[in-house]
Amino acid sequence: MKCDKFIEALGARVKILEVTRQYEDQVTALVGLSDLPEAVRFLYYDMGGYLSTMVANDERSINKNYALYYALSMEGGKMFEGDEIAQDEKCFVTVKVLVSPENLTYPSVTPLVPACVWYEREAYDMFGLIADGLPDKRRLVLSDDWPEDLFPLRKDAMDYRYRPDMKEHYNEPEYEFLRPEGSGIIDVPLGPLHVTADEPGHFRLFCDGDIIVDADYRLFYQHRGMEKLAENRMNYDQMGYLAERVCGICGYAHAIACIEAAEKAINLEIPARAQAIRIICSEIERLHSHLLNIGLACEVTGNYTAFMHIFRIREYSMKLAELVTGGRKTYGNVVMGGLRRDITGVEIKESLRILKIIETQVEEVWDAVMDDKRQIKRWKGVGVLDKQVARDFSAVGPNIRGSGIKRDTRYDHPYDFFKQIEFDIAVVEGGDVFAREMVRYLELKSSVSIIRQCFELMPQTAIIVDPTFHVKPENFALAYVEAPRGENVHWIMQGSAQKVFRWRCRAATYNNWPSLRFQFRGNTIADAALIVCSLDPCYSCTERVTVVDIKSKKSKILTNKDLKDFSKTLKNSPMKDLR
Amino acid sequence: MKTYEIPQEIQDANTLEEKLDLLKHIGRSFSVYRIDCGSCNGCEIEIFAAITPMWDPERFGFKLVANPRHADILLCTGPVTRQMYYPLLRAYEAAPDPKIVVALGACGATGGIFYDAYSVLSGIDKIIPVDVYIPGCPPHPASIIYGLATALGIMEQRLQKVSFEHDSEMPPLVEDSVLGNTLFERDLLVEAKRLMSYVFGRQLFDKYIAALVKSGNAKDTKATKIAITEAMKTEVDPRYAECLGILHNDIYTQYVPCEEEDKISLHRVEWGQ
Amino acid sequence: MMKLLDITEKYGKATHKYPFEPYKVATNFRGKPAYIFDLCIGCAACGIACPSNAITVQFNADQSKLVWEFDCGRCIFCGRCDEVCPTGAIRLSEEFELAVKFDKSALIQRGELDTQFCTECNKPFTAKRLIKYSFECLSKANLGEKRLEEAASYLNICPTCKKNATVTNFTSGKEMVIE
Repeated sequence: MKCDKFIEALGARVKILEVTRQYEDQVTALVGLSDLPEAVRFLYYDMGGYLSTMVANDERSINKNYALYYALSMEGGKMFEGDEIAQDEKCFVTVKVLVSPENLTYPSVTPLVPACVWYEREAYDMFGLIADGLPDKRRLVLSDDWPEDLFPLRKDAMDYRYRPDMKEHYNEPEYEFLRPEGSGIIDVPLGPLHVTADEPGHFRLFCDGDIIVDADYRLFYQHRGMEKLAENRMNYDQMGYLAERVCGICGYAHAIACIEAAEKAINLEIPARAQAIRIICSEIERLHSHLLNIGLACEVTGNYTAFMHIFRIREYSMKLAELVTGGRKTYGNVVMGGLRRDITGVEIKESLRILKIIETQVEEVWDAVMDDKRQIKRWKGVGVLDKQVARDFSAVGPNIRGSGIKRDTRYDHPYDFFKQIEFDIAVVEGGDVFAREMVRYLELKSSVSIIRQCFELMPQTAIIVDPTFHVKPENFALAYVEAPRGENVHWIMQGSAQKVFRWRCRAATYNNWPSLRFQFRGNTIADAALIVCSLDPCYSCTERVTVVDIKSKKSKILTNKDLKDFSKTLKNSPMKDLR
Repeated sequence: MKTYEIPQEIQDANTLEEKLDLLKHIGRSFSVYRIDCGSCNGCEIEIFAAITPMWDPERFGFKLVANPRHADILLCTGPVTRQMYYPLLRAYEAAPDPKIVVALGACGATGGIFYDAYSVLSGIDKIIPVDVYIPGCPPHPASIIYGLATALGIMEQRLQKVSFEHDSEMPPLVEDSVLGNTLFERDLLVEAKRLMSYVFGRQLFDKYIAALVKSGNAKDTKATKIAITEAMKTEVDPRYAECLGILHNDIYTQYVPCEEEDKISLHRVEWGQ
Repeated sequence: MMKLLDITEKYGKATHKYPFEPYKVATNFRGKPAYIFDLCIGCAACGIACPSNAITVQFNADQSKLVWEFDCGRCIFCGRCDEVCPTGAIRLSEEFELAVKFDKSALIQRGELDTQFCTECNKPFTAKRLIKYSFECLSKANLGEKRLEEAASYLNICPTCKKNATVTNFTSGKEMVIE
């Protein structure tokens, strides 16, 4: 069966205590605490895994311990031609450890696999689990005024409605930024309310003259406490609506990822028509999201005419969403077992007409934008994401595809209706803003073709299963959806009384933020907004940010010159001394 | 829980008269500052959509500004997360008096779906006084334009509080069954909704019942088969047509004893489309 | 750059006339839920389904009325209430012009229904209309006359008393046949 090969290889390395299978392509291996870093590193670098998510869980009521799940998507390193696992062997392997509530400590994986850094910081924030050896121990998610010893996701910590007192707003608590050493470096604070992006996030750019030497950021201004809310107030029918509101742009992808996790935990297969409609709606979402991002990338560089045109075209995609889901945000559609809204012949006909308009006009405008040499100049060579950095931090979506790595959940782990659809994965070399925008443009075209194929192949079934299924407490599973920004991974452990025991939502941008710091370096302040924009960040998705530089906590600190050289040549990546 | 108390001088400068006076003066040109207090981004994007060429609020003087000190109107979204509480207050105090505060979206108005979570404070008006509420999750750009138009007096407010306090006699709600057993209609409606969702399922249900009545005798399996097939042929929308057949095969046959031949073929060619 | 200007010329004016002319949303747009008081039976299905708790169904202070209340400000326009309502008392409209100024209470809709008290223990347990509706449904569901009579009697009993009565019946030693 799938995954067995990896478990066997892992077993030769470390002692596996127990193997459980959740789904056809998902297995979990329980290992001892001391084996954890080696197990994750082995799967990540030696077997070709990418870190999909890490879930901390309070399982004291089940097995008297806390548990950590490091979920890896086994797909191959993809660093060069042929460095990829065969299509039918791709799967998810989860490494699980138990952490005793007495000492709450586990060995940190971050020094070996940098991609784990945020996850381990969050595990401390939410559960008080201490990663031994983690270079950056600052808080990540909770607000600066949150009580030191209160860990909200512990089952016995507090009521989900408990709100500690606010501080006097004139004495607002300060956040501690990681400042690079060296003379002549100036702090440039950006945010939390700022001109460049709508959403709040505090960026601290450290500059030498006009050049950004380093950056640090405090995000999570939008942490709303959804995971706790879902565990306490929501049943499965209502959870989809909460998951949608993780993010206003890729909400549909979150909703289906969340619901599919719950479905996969009990092996529930949804009707083919519902699968097709889920794909249609998530592709419509990709249309409007990518149009938004390309538009903003023009706006940030001062090309207002193109911005306005792209937004005019984007209104057609919103019209499309309004037509097939009844709301401009593809909200309110997903329930466990299927969907709540069908698409009839009238809608299909009208949709095809609108698709045609979008297709021709996008092509026209893109052609006009590409005709503008000044525009291309602003995009080329800016905010380069090095291939190795992308690999180390498990970047996702157009961000990693713009760096020449063919990583797309729709292709690696085809879900729902994607098994029956032909489409191209856009991969562009270069890693700069231009490459990322190019990926987005190519994806716009493939989305249009995917939607058309779905309409053609529309199966004749119902849109929701017979409501006779039963949830099974303690069953858990992963679900993954390629949102416009990259894969969204949700992990659900089912609980009793129609509620989830633990819901972990990992948004695409969560994996993209940590590498942003490397993209900033060596660029001018004027490009900072463009770089953030080209990442297509979704603050509310991630609800978090502070990039962790492991390097600065290590004794070796790069000089300005080193950094500048690095950013010019892109050789000698500072990530090197981590391994 | 103790939250912000508005300083007396801000209160004095923000009376209703002052605000109405301001609204009268800024009629054709006003500056708006957006504050995202932890919204999901949906409202942000809809504001963005509302300021693009399709809606163009600059027609009546709408101008986004980058600094709260330039603002006449503060456009706030989101349920106010703990971390955004402080920046919100800084922006509020920085804006010149009198200031109009607009709460946009369900979260801004009341906290929306997050209203009782631990990390939010349940809406803008729990912290600072709000003048205009624009519900919607997220609001349609037209709703946003409408909200601004209402605030400026271009359009009238349409919603009023509605309260029914006297319980009247209820009209009969249950219709007679075509088969003499309402359980048939119940199952039929459930299956119709399962096939085509609540929106279209109800229309499908009506279409099916109408076809059944047209057959003359709803209990005659031969007559109903002809009537439903006819309805499928005349139906313009192929999805409704195929679902009429599925309903007949799955539900009707459970209530009226049928032979295998009384079922309808769902092959598209055979019903003539 | 010139190409962009050509596109502008090609597609001309894009702006909607709204608010100076009405705007039409797509058919089946999910707008404000419209409440028809006459059809409401107080079954609370909408209150249970509502993910954001915008709809609440509660007894008033002296328990003489069952109060249905909807806060449009908290509504997320998902349409679950529309989906679950058995009588069509709540249906999503295409209404999107919802802004209110200065007074938030304009966002509220409410309806008060008479309470049904349990004939055994005299506790309030639901709305009178729900009992009436349930009986109406049963009477058209092809039931035997005796069964219907029986139903009419236990419809007015609260769930606790119903449970107790069932336990007493089943432990009385008498054999019962349920049609």
